[in-house]
Amino acid sequence: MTDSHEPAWPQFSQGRPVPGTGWKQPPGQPGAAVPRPDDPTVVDASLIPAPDPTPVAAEPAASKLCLQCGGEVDTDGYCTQCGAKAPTEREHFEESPAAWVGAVCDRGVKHARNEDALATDADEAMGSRAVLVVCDGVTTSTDSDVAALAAARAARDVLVEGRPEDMGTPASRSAAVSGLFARAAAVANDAVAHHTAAGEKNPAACTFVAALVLDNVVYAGNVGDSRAYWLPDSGDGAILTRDDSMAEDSIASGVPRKQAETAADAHTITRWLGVDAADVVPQVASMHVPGPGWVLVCSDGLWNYASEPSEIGKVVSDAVGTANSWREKSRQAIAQPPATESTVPAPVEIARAMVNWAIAQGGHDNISACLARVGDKPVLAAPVVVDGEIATSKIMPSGASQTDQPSASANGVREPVAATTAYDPITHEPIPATTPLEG
Amino acid sequence: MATFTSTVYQNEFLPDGGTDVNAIVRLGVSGAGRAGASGKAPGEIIIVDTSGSMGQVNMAAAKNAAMTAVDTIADGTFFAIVAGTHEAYLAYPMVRTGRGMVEMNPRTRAEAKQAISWFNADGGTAIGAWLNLARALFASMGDALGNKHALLLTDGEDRDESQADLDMAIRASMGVFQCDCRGVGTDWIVSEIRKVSSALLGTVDIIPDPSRMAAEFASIMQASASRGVTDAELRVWVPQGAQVLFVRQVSPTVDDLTARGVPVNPLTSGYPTGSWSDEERDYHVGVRLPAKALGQEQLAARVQLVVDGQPVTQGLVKATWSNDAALTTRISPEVAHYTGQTELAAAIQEGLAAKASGDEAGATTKLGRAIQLAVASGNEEATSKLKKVVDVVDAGTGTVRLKRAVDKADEMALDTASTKTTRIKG
Repeated sequence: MTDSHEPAWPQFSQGRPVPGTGWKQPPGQPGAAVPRPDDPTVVDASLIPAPDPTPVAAEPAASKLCLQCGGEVDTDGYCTQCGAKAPTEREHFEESPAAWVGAVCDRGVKHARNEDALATDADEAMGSRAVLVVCDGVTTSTDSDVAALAAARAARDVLVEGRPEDMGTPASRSAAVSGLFARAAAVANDAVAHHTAAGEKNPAACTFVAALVLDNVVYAGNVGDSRAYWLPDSGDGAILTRDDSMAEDSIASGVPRKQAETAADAHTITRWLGVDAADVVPQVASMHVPGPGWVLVCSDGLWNYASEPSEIGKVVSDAVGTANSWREKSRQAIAQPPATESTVPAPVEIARAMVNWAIAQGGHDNISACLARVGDKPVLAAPVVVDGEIATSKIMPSGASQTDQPSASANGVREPVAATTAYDPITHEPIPATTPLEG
Repeated sequence: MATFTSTVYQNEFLPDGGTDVNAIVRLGVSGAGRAGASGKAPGEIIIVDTSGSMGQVNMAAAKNAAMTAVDTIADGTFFAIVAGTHEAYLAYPMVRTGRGMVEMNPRTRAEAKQAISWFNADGGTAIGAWLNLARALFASMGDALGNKHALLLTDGEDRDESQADLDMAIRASMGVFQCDCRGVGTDWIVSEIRKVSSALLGTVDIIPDPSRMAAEFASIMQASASRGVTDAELRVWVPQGAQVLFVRQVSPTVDDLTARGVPVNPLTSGYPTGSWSDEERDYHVGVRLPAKALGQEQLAARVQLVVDGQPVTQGLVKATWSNDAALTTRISPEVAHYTGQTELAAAIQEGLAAKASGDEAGATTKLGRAIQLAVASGNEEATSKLKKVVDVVDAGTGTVRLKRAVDKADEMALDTASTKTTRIKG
């Protein structure tokens, strides 16, 4: 109230109003600083609470972004926009050790905990060296979430020793790789045991799958039903691992894959890591990268919805589209013009889109997806070891080794993986898509 | 240093496709301190009806009560006395312009009591005009005051202005000052005065016996002086795409705040709650969300108390979709209790309104439902006040008969008490 607009107060003298000074609806005096309530156009700004310019409780301390809508996550753990619960570090985590490698691990929808785990490592040059490990903790056992993460990291730490310069001559590399995988699985097994209390009735257990990319050769090995895939940009992909599961046993005995994998006991695994595990030596296969494509290492929380290489290959290409649309959206959000040339999203973004896709399918299990982009620019390294020269794996039957066409294997133990004819980047000679290491 | 607490009572589990989340959020303050603890002096205005209808007895009691109130106001508090008829007059301080309130000290206290002693019952009733003067008086102090509180006494219907005038004055005063209202005698209209007290975050009650007026005024002033936390705002955030169905204070009284929400940002509304003493208040918040997939968990609302622009406590209302009927069919006892108390308040008010309009069947049904709810929830005040208006045949089934002769004051006491709720038993 300024001096020039002071109201003259109504007078009251000795208990009697002074005639002509009383207040009714608004004080009649001109200049009185009280709004005229009978004039709807006059609004006293002081009566309207000023909007708070800062959003409620928006503490930008750790500006974590919501996985659902991209909004900011509040310190209370929920998105400030859509209210989605932000996952904990264990419920959802991502890794992108190099521009060509990315991985996402997520609780999914139905499970209360994330018992999946992954660990990755990579060198900068595409196709030069990458390690992708997934361990899927068994739900019915105690502390599998802790054990699986410890196992994945322990295995990764062993596999990172697989550097070309330390792996002997190319000719002897396969033996070294087999030994490395066996050691990684053994160390992972020890890590699981380390997280199991003595006398535990439901000892922690988990699967193990690892892919090692070394100079455009992919080595993959597993214990349990987590998988490695080769998913080329064109042509048929392939499963690089063979599940240790009842389903795989059924397939081996001639039951079609679809039918076998949807049977009641399909997910019963026949091998695992844990104190009660009998055999933890992974089967290892190798494959020359024939052209541009993706190496995918994943848990059954993903492949359950798309088991065949052709199906999961489509999931990857759809995820590339989804990740691109996210990029376009965020570009619009900051008012940038649309991209003039097609950009390739980072592998971690594609993995995120794949995980979201699995969640949209129901998210019945924990979901892990590790992607390595290979084959765009072949790494020129030492002459690539071709088929047959690689040594040793105790697992693979000889009959399944030398084919580049999908067919029933001679002894029915392994369904050979499908692949297009590929060409060695150095020799330009046709090479088989997968080359199981022979024992 | 005041401390703030919040507790959320709800069943967060929704069935597949479920959209509506109900929660009771209990907000508490302790260590509030005295009014003025925030550094700014409190302001008190005593508004006394001096219309002709007050008559000798009520006028004498009102003078006595106003003087008692002045005695109760602590030194250092800024105050003014308004005399109200069909116009409003500044009875004290006797200033013509400038600041319309003065600081309480022995001299001003004595002068104010002198001014009150000269009150003379004459003229009509225009409560909106009284509020307008009170608001202008508070405004004349600039931002010097912390708690701004008024006590309004009336004995009659708001005859000498239109309801629109009154509504306009109430709206303009919302958020400016708080106002406790008391009616003396039985010629005033409970719903009219409740409109003032509810919007201005105060209480309403009847003083049936003028001799009790002084004690009532003293207790109102003491309560006002105990509110050390000034101008707290309730803020409710809901996620994008969600809708606030209602925000209701449910304890200590029922008060629907929904329409008073002021947008803070696109997802947040603020609701004024006035000043707080050491106390707890319960709020019932209803939110409608887009349904999510089974197993999804999300936040349905952040309910905060904001003081000086800072959130001081926050309750999180959640939603989790589940196909486990054992989880989704549970009803939060607190939500159920306060849903009942809200219905009780409405049943009493609607029952009395039906009775006043001669709808005996409607009144019997509504007041029957009221006694059923009051007894079941252990609301003893409502039960005893209802029993002065109806004969209870069977409280369990809500069967009642309207009493033949009812004291008007008892009916009004039931009406003013209708919004008072009890806490859940146990």
